[in-house]
Amino acid sequence: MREDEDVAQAMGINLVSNKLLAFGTGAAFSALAGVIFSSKIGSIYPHSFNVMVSINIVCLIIFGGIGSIPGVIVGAVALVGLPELLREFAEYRFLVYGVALVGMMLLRPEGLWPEAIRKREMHEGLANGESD
Amino acid sequence: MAAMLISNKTTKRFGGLVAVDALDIEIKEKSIHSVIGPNGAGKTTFFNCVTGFYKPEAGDIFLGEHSLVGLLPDQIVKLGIARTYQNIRLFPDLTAIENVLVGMHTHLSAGCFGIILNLPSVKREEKQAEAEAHRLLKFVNLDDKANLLSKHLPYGEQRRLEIARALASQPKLLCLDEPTAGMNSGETQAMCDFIRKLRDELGITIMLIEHQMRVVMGISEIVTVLDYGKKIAEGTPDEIKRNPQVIEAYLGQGSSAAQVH
Repeated sequence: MREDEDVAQAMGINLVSNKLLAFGTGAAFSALAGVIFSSKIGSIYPHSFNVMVSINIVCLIIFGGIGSIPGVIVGAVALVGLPELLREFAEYRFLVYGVALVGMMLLRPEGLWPEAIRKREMHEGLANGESD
Repeated sequence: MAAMLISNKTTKRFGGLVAVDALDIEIKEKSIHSVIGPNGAGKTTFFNCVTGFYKPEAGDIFLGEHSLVGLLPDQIVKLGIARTYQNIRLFPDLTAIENVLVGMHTHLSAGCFGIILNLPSVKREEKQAEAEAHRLLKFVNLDDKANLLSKHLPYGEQRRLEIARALASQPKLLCLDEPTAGMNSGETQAMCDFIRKLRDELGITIMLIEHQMRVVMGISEIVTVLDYGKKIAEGTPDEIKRNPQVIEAYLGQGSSAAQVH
């Protein structure tokens, strides 16, 4: 569906039900995460879910590898676990996030532990050069 | 021969423009039927009506007893119609074999839970699907390129891959939209032989849009000629070659039959 919606439909893929399924599954997982978060912290209010949480999460997904489960775990350990260990440097946390993102985009855009398809897509130019 | 596809006064309008005008066509089973006409005659629009991308304003299209009007493209594929596109529409960032595997979607029965839990039945089905995909690639002589990204394949091979993907859904009727576009005479001849092989070995009915006359004359059994959305002639290639209306539509008035060889 991502590559070519019309053709996917012509291959027999029901667009509506599959899109709903993808959306619903993603929403279900984030709901699960929210439940775990709230029982861990003990109290929640809308203020806990501000923009910085979303930015943190996107950062660590890009860092670890989009679409790859081990990648996201690596990203979470690196960008959430390590800052906990390095409490003294708390002010530099967002600086580090920024540097990490820029560095990743330049050196390894698919993340630390990517899924095979993404790695292929990101390193197009290289593959072209090699095979031609 | 029984009729595979019947179009009954199908009409498709885009605002004021009548792209397909009360078209009656009957495609006989296991035949190779060409639809020809000058550019803009409504051929691809008719294909789109048959495969569900457009809904005709009037008229009806039947595959056997099923009416195709109003069905979604994914439902029509399940009934046994597959198509290729005028401007090749492969999935560019997927490999050749992945493209063919997507084509097999309607025949794969693994559901979400089966896939998430990686059940042995799902694994078995995947292995079978891969073997079948390799068989299809071998049929179009692309098996050695199975793991290349489809956008890296040369043009002629992309066309064959698109046909392999269409065959993956095990269609009864295959609609080919200008399969020899952009090919030289050697490649065109190879494609003609291949199309004949599809019908002879797999028993598939073929509906073809073509511009190259030698292809039309060479492999079609019946030819339907459209002009401005209307059918202006229908018959065997020889009859069409001699039809003055056809010659006029393509070549203008005053042209002789000898020019269409």
